Amino acid sequence: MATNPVSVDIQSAAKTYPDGTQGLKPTSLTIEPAEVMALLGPSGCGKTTLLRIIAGLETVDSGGSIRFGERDVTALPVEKRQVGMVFQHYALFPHLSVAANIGYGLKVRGVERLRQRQIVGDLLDLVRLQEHAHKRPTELSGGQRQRVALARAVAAEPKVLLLDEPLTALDAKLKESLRDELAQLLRRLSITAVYVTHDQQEAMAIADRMAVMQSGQIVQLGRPEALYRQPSHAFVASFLGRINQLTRTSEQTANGVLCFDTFTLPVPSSLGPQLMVRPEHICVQPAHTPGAPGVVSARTFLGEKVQLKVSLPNQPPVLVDCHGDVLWQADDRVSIVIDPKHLLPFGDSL
Amino acid sequence: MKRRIQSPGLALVTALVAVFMMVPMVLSISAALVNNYSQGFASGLTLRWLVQVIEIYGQTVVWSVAIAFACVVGNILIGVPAAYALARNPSRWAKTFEEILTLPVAVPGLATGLALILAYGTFRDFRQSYGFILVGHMVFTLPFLVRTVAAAFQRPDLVTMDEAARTLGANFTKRFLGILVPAVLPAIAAGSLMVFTLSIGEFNLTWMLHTPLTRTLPVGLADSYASMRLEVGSAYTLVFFIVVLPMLWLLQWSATLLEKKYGN
Repeated sequence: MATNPVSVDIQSAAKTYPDGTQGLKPTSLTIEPAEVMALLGPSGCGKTTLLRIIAGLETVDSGGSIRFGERDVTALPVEKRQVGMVFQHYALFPHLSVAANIGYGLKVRGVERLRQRQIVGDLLDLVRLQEHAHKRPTELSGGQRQRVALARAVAAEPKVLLLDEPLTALDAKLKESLRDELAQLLRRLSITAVYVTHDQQEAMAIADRMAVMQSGQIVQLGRPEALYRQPSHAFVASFLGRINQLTRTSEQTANGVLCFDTFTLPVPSSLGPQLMVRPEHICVQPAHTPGAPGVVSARTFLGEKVQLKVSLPNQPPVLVDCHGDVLWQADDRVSIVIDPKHLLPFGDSL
Repeated sequence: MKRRIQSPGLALVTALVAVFMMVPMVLSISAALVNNYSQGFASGLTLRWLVQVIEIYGQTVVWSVAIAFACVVGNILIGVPAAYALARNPSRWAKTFEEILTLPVAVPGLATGLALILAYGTFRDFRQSYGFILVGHMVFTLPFLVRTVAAAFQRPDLVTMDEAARTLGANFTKRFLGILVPAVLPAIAAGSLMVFTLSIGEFNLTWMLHTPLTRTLPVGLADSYASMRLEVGSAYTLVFFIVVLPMLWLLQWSATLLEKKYGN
């Protein structure tokens, strides 16, 4: 729909609330035209505040600026910013039909009636709700309601589409199917979008790039795969999936090794004394084969995989993801193999 | 299927209370329809007391209903915007204002009436019109509407709905009339029902504000009890029931209908 997607350029936007708490530290972020940017982080990290600042629902502290393409919108009220927003609990108008909800933005902007009907019809097709056009929102399921909310948000061809945890209110299974549908729709609409979520899988599945946030600032920004594989901070690594931490003495660091009792693994000194490795990058082998000696302390069957917790000499216990048919049980002696190329530096502490 | 009575003691108490409350109503209604109350039904049934009430006090019934409706309309026009302002304003002043607004409910109606007379009694035309009584009723009933509607405006889903309408480009007037008011319609209906009920039965404040030419149903009722035969007074009560009950049912029914249509 949006023929000319615009970029969103945020420069040192900060938010201080009247009681003095800082919801967002000075943040700069540029979102490319038609890019889907996820703001990801735990609750209270400032992601929703940043989204509301882009929308114009929150004012930005002086010194900050927001541009949509060439246009500075910092001083524009939300009504005039031409954004579309999808809310966590849909925020549909209960007294209006599905079609009237979708057409509301067109109606208040004075779009001609015939054109309104045409756009609403197209959008009903797009979100597959033609036969529900005359129902009220309360008669629809959660997934259908959120599709109405999306159609309503894009009807007036907004410059930027903002989504505030749009799938949080749905149950797990529906969430996954709607997530994939949403990812497709956003590509088809070719619209600049900002997607707020606390669910890393959702962010990874939907976004072109994501900004991981903590304590009111962006910790790391990049493509989902890059962030997962090369997290620059322990926080990012642990937020995007489970991670094991290993430590080595300064002597081991200097010598470029990591020692597990008698077993020594060559690890470059440059990685530093604190190391991280994901559970899927550790292999479990029978005892007495080359590797770090360990004892299985817990086994969790998860269907397609088995998760083992393995105690290691002079290291904290590690989690290992194994294939679903491994037979290791608690108290079994095993050998742990780690490919040094999967070891990550711990990064800067925050 | 036969329903078993689970607790006979409780059922008996309920029945006794129900009878205790019904007896005065039945007696009052029967007093309105007999020729002579002291002789009971033996004196024969008649409608002449009802006719007499309508002849003498018919105007008071019409005016009471008119004032109650005007009170509802006036309170909606003033109260709904006030409720929105109070709901969206977090300041201490708003809280204080809401408390002051509620005062006429606690202060005896007589005192409110006297205060109104002291303040505005010198405006003769106003003082002698039904408008004076209407103002009194509105002062007394406004907080009931404002509180009910303000509570509805404060619901978090309404705050988000307002934000959603803003992102879609709607200015304040369009949002307020097109989204917010329809969303709180069930609360407005519930509040209006309360306002209507309170206004139609209001005596104490009206007794202070009325003039011989501006009397409402309850004031007329007091007059008939004091100066007429018992049968006339009872017939007047019956007229009240006949006029007001269907209206209350109608209002209640439309409130339920609104709740069904607009409630979420």
